[in-house]
Amino acid sequence: MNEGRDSSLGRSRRRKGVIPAIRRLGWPLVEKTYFLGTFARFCWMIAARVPGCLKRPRLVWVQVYHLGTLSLPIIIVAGLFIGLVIGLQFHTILDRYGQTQVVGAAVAIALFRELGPVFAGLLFIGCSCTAVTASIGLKRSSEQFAAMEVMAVDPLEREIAPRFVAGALCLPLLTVILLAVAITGTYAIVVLQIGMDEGFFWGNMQRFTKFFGDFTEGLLKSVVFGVMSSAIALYHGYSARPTAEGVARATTNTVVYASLTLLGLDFVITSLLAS
Amino acid sequence: MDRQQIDLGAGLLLLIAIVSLAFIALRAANFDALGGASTYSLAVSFENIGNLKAQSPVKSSGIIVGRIAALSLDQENFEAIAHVDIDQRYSFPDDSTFAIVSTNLLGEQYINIVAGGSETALADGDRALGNSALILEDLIGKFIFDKAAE
Amino acid sequence: MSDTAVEIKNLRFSYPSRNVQILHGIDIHVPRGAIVALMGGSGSGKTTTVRLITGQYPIPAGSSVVVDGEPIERLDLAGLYRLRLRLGMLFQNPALFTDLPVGENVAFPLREHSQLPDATIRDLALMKLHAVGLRAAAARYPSELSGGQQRRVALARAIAFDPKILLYDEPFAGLDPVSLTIIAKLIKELNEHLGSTSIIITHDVEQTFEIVDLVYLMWQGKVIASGTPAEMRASADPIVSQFIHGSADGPLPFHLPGSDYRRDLRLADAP
Repeated sequence: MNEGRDSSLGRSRRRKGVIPAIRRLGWPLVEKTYFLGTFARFCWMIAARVPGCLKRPRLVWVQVYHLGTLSLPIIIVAGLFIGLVIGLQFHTILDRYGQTQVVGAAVAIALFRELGPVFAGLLFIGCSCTAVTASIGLKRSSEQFAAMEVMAVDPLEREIAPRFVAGALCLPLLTVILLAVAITGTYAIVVLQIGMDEGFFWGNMQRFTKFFGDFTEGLLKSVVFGVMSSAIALYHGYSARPTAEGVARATTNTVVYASLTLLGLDFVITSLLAS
Repeated sequence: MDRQQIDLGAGLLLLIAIVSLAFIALRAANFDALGGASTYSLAVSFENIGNLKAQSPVKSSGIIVGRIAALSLDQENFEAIAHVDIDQRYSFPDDSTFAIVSTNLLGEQYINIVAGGSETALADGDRALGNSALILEDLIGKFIFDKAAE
Repeated sequence: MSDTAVEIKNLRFSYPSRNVQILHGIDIHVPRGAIVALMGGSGSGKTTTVRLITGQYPIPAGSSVVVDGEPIERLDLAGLYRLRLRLGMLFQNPALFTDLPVGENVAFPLREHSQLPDATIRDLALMKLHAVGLRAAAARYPSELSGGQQRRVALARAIAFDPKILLYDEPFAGLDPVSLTIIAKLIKELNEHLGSTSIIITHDVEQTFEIVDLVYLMWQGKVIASGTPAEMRASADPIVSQFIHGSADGPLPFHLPGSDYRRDLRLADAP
């Protein structure tokens, strides 16, 4: 009866033995599967409510303001610096081969296809998705959703679906803005600062970058990223434990899961479109 | 948060996005690579197309006038067919010659059009006969064979 | 229409995520127009009962909850939402929408469910706020109000649709004596003016006994006593009298039931 004279208060004591070891091994797997299942069901629940929420565009509009407009400053500043540093790097590398005239094209292709959507997506996750998770988590923990349900209002349709639609809409918009600002940044460093000929810069950029192809592929990525990261942010907010730590944990999870999924999806889309 | 501020803010986001899109479309990216309406297509048959690839340029006097849309093999007489899209702005007489040439000995290959003297022009869907590519290996083989015969 | 607002028969319930049974077959009868108090210690299942009345959790088989003539266990989601339009609920924490000003909070149910023009909704919201004495705070945000004021706003929101049945989850908890009296007076007045029925979850014996018609005393998922306030006061039952007089000693144990104390301390002679 005196087994384990440790100072723990029971409960989380680890048991030895083969079956408990297998159980421990299996549980994370079960948990992940369970997570995937509930996430899929949650996505389905949102999707079913999107048509209803589109009938009330004002709700979406408010969220566009919160998720999009309020992220504008960070997107513009980040885009400018991204353009500056990539322009500088590409110029330094291409200078070795005497190919500086294609720096505009190289930057544009890299930005359109990969860097723009990915950077904008990561910034969006850090800036807007965390806010979504925290606000949904807090609304839920302070019983605001329960209050809505008792007032015969579906919180999924009133609160969740508009944020989802707005998120899926805002990220492509922000991506386009980031791209334009980044190219302006490259222009500033390569043409205005280093002194490359303006005609070569724009001419080569236009010659080698295709609007339907390079640009639209990046835009497609940003649409997928927007849908995915909004759904993940909403899910974590909605399923957060109703405590301060629960909401904090959910916000962290949003950043972790959304960022990793974004990078994974980026690879998948790139390889799908390449084949 | 009153309505005006939200409308103003969300409108600002849309406005900047539209301006950015216009900037990218007009200034940064090549909007002409549309394909479709502004081109007409020809089928040019070759005995051998060498290293020719889809998307390779079609030039006349060094000016790019179109692109190769697709390559296929004619199952009746086992000739290679290059389907080329020619810019609507350019038209060529129906006795023009199509030849596969290289930018240099090992470089990328493209189709060169030398205009003929006929009155009628090639139209969409027409078939034309092309001069085959110079195959480097054939040339070297022929050269060695000729040398040996001497 | 019958003279019964809420009829609960043999209600058993346990939360799906936990194995503990919360309610062990309770029967509650709420006559129309009455103010009924659900009293009892924390964790006795009062809040769960009220949540089941609003249909926030599915009713298990064998139990029956009839609210305003409609058996909740047989309603689909649309039917449930229609029924909820006739209910108003005041949450324990006021559950006001923190991103909307007070006026919009009260207008919320009207905006969601009525096609009234904006100006009418605004006027109606102001009237409801006036009823709780907070018309002047319409433009403020909930976080700028005190706890008692927030609860009054939540009350204004709950009565926005002139509900037939009002549910209050601990309306007196954590209030200063003045706010407490105000809320109690409001509950009484609203019940008369709206002609509605009220169910109040509360611990506050003094204040509650002044306004209610009927008291149900719950303990560990069971109804252990019921009657008018006068009957309750006169009750000889030791549990009832302990609760009403709030004494620490009595049949209601102080400790959460659990394993043996000496065994938890790992004393050698423990069984």
